[in-house]
Amino acid sequence: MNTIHRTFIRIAWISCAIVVSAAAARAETQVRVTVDRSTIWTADFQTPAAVVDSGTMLTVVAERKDWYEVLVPETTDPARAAQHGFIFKSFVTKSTVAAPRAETDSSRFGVAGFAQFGYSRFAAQNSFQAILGHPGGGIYGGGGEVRLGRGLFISASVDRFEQTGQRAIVADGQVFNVAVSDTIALTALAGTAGWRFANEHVTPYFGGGLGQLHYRETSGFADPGEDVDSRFRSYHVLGGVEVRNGWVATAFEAEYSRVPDAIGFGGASAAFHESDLGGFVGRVKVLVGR
Amino acid sequence: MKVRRPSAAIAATAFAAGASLLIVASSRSISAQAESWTPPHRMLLTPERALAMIVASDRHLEYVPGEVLVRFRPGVSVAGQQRALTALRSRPAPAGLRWIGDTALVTDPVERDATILAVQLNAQPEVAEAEPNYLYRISNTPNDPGFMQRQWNLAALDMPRAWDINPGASDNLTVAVVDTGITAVTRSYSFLTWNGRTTQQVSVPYGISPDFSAARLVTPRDFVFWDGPVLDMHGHGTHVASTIGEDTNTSLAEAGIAYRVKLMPVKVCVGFWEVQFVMTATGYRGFVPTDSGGCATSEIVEGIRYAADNGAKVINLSLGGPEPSATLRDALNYAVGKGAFIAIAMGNEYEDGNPTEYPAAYAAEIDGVMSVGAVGPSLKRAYYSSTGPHIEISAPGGNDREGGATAMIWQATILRADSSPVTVLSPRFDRYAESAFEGTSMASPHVAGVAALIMSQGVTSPAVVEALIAKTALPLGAPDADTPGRNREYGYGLVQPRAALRGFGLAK
Repeated sequence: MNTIHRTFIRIAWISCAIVVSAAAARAETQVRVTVDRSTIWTADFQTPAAVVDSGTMLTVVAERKDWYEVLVPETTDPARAAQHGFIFKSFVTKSTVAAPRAETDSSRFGVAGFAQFGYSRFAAQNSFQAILGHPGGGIYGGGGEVRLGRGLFISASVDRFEQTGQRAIVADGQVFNVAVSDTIALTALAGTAGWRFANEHVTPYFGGGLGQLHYRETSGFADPGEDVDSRFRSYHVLGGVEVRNGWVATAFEAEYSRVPDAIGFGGASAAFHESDLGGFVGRVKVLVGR
Repeated sequence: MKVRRPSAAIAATAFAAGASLLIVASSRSISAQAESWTPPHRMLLTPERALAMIVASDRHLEYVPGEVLVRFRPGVSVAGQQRALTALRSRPAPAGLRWIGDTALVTDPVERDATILAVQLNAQPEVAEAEPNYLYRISNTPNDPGFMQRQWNLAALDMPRAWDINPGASDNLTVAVVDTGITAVTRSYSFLTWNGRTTQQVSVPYGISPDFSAARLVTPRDFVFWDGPVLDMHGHGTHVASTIGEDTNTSLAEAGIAYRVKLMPVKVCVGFWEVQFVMTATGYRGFVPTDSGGCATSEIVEGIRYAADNGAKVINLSLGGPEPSATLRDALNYAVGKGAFIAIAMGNEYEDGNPTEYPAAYAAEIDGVMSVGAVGPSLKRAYYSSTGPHIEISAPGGNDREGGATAMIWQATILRADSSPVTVLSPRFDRYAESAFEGTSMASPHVAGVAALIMSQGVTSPAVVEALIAKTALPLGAPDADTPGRNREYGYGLVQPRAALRGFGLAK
């Protein structure tokens, strides 16, 4: 295990620690009602959701022209508590005083399942280029996510990559393929812990975690034992934004992973002195759940 | 009829007699005392050259007497060349020189010691380099045919599974066999020969080996005997070619490695019969030494350049000798520059002082040229296989000490009983049989055949072919400190066709 590897693991753990500690320091936009008996309207602007007095603190979740979209306070009709409503901006002033946090969709307990697809550019890009003709390729997979409240979430996912190219000889950095098929299949299992920033519709998040990479390489005319079938520990950090619309959300995510000392002992990877099966991944996730 | 053959002493006498005859013989009209003979093609093997080869054989010279290869400095005019040549007693004219690329073959009928000629010319400011026209020899030990066919060599290389990947290479690829030739015509020619009592005109039949379809023999060229069809009067070239690409459709016992390639017969070596025919035509009465002949640098260089210029992508050189030749090294570089991979026999002199053999010694310094040592069925170095820091790869070459003829390399070639100088007066070269040979001459075509398979897989760079063969070799013995990854006995190890054809994956 080299120094970079150790550093990376530390970064992964530190990011998790930051996620946990950030929960305590979290702050939200608050407004103070300045006019007695101000009405908070429902989304149709026909029905009052609540009537509040001066001094009431409201949590803003969005803005719409002259209106703030706020959480209906619990002090009013309990049936409408935590629902969204609209209050005229002239009836409130922004408050700089941190208020007790009101829960949002993203900070409450929730469960979601997701499908994901994207593109992986491998750290061993020369090796993949030699065999497959390009340094990465498409991936697909899915998983589940659990929001534990207070912005914390954990997720488990699986990604799959499989492409077929040609075996090769690398000489003086040049690649010559030999017209024998070579199929590389990667299955990445990952567990992630992270933090979601409270926001009703566009929610940034980041996280990190560990996983296991199943590497399988099969080729034409191979004898038993000549193919490769191995598993390796992986480490990753990721970040993204989630755009939610009710029960469905779409996330755009970037991930950096390391799978050290997985390759580089033979074949094209040895010729290029590349040993890491990790890399950068850009993916789109479609989540269903709250 | 038992025929007595000349000893070295008799041969020396014969040389003296032949030399006296040559003084009166015209090089333009080869005539005999008993019968006249008009060659059907322009003769390249002149009586002078044939006699020189006899002399070289008799005196164990490593060069053609009276011949030297000269490369003038760039920009030297004809007048400058003329001035440099005045250093020789015969004062040859530049117009009479035979040019091979930028090298001229100078023949001096006065001074026969080519080392003296080279020294005289190297002292001239116009001369960049001069060297004797060294003689290289094919190196093998043919055995009597008649044993059952045993191609242990192909099994040792796991050829059946290599052929699963690439069955016999591409028929668009040409492998040149620069050797004693591969007979490329089926017909008879009349020659004068000595029958032990008198000169006799005989009809000598030639035939294409039934294990080569005629369509596979392309652009044949004879640089040494005559300006006619290539004829193998020795069997060495055919045996080598059979290892590379004998037709293969039935069983392993009659297989060649790259059995679909085109074969380019390039004749640069002559043996007993060529010399005997030419000498008899001059009026020489007697047998020339049975080991007469050889391969002069001048013709080898011409053959290599011809092969490269005419599309050969693999060249096999199963020949060698102890003398270095810059001209030969340049020819190797020229061919590699043209995209040809070259396999060269390491030499069979291990028990004879193990001298460094050329051109094999140049292989280590040229990417795309490999020197090939020999192993027997045990995959241990054959007793004769030369060693040295320049050996790069090993292949089956046979080792009769491991099991007699069955441990040698069996391939189709001319039926030895039809043409053996020891037993035959009137030879024929139209019948073929599986015959056992051994030597690094036999190991080299294994690597040439594998190179052809690799090139058919799309690896076109000679240097990369070499790298692939080296990296996939089965290591034999521990690497030496001064030759990383290889040792002096086996090079990188035993060539592994299947592994080479499979190349490498991402992880291994």
